[in-house]
Amino acid sequence: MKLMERIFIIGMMIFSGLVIYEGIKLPIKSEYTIGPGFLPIVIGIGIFISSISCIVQSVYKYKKLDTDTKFISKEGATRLGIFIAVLTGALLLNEIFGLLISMVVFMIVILRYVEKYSWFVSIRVAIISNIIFYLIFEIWLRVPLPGINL
Amino acid sequence: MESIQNLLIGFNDIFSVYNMIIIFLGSMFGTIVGALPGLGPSAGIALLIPLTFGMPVGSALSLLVGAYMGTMYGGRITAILINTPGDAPAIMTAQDGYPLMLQGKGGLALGISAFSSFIGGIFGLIVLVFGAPIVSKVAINFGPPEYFMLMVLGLSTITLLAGKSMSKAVMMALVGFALGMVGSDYVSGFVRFDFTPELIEGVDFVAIIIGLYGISEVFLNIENLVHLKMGKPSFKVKEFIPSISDIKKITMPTLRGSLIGTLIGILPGAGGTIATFLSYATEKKIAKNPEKFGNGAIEGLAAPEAANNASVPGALIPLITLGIPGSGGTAIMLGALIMYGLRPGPLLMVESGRLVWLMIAGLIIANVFLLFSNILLIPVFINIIRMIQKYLSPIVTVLCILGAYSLNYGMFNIWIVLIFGVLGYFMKKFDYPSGPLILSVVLAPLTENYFRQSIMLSRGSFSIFLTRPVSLGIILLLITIFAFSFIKKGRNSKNQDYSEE
Repeated sequence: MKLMERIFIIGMMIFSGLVIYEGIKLPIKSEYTIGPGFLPIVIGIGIFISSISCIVQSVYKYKKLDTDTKFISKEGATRLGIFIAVLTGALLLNEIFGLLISMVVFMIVILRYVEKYSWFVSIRVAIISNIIFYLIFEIWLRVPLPGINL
Repeated sequence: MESIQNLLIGFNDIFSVYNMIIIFLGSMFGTIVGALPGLGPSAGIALLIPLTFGMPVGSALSLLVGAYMGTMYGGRITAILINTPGDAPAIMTAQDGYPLMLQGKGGLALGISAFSSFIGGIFGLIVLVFGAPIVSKVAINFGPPEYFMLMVLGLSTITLLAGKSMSKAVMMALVGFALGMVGSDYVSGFVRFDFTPELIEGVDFVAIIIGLYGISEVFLNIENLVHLKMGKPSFKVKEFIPSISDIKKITMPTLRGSLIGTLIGILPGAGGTIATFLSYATEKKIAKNPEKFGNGAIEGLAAPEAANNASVPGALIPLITLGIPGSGGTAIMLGALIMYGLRPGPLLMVESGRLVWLMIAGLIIANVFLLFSNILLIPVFINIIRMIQKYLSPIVTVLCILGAYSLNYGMFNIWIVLIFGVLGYFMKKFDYPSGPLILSVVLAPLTENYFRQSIMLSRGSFSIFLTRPVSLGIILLLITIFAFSFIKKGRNSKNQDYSEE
């Protein structure tokens, strides 16, 4: 947990650098008021300072604790990894199969292999819920969901 | 009298079969979402916003307020039945609700809590109806410096939403501010953070909240494979209806809870959780038999439930009249109002008065629907919650994905949702509050705009904030809030040190 939290804070520090860099590229002043670069610089510096404060707090917090807790269990990481990979894959497949069919496939895979339901339950839940989503988004709200594009 | 007339106009505007169905569905959806652990008002409203695109603004607001009110009712169901509060304010409901359930009085606990929730909601709404126009009239003459200070006051509520660490809250608020600055700067014409063309219009606020509240919760559920274990409902409708002696017992606690809830709700940043804790503590303190609390005292169930629901209309007073959201839920409501082209703040009741009164009328109707549905449809709710909870993660994910797509019919917002889902997951893991981030994303553009206008007005002088009485007053109020917050924090850490010694 300790290492992961620090990586997270360092990520925030990098983000603050990006915000400051963007601010520097833009004018800081304009006539009678501030320019578009003023606030990004101030906010970027603020994020950087608060990140340092968070790092210091994290050092003190973990000094007090005797043992460090695990960020994630092995089983949890596997489940989450599969979930994110299948979701990303389904979203990439959307270009070919359309959004709803990709989501049906995503739901079936997750319900079967992550949540460990039977094939019958997985297919039934995926199809029924996507029919409901189709009725809500495509028919009621008239959202033009991307279709099959072979 | 003017308020009542306006409210009647609101009822007249809202009464259509379509709107009634919308409010009913919103309330039902809110109740179910509120009952599901981890998903509170913020998630409930966030998930529904994409469905409101293309609806008339009045109907869209009806749907959102119905869901908001519904989440407040929903949290108590799982708290009473399986000792698992659906949201933070329902923690106090579980204190006496679950012991009642163990005594075989689960139906009665659900009935009493529904009744108290209704009274609390109505009490808060009465204060909203009569209080909002008064505050609005006082604030109507505000100029850019006062507006800017109001925005700063709104942002200062992060000290109250901070949770355990102020540094984490400040960092999240600043990150939110940076996200709020992405896109075209309308004053100078420059574009900030234009890494892709889609970012020229900024990061969509709805995509951020769907990711932070919807997808991140799914990630946590998938990691831990969380499933509720609710039994089949075996209650009869008559068991939900409290007896006359029960009603006598809970009348005063309900009224006290309603008053506490409304007052705490008005204070930015305080919200339903503090209101329920405070009302429970008050009841226990003044009770003849305080030892009954925690063992199934109906007074201990009624007071926090009333406080919880009264806090919703209470929190809407600063939102509608000053544009200050005091919680995650009201921050999302603020974002939604801006998205529908409204301008929350002192002028809202002047410029869009009819819509505000329609929204208030919608809240009253939702409250009535929720009372009856929470008494008559409890078995239905329980069955839906049991069914959905098993398959919740993939269903919520697909709903979030389709919702993100419908924001501008493109894939870009779907990727934004996923990125913020991952960010939200880490934030939850490391205890970084999401409320300050959302608050800043919503308030950043407005704050910057009012700041620039103020400085232009004073021809480059910062003293304008000190020379105008209202602005100066808000500065003093801010100093008081910060001083109070630091003193409180100092005392808490001292007490902690003593207890550790």
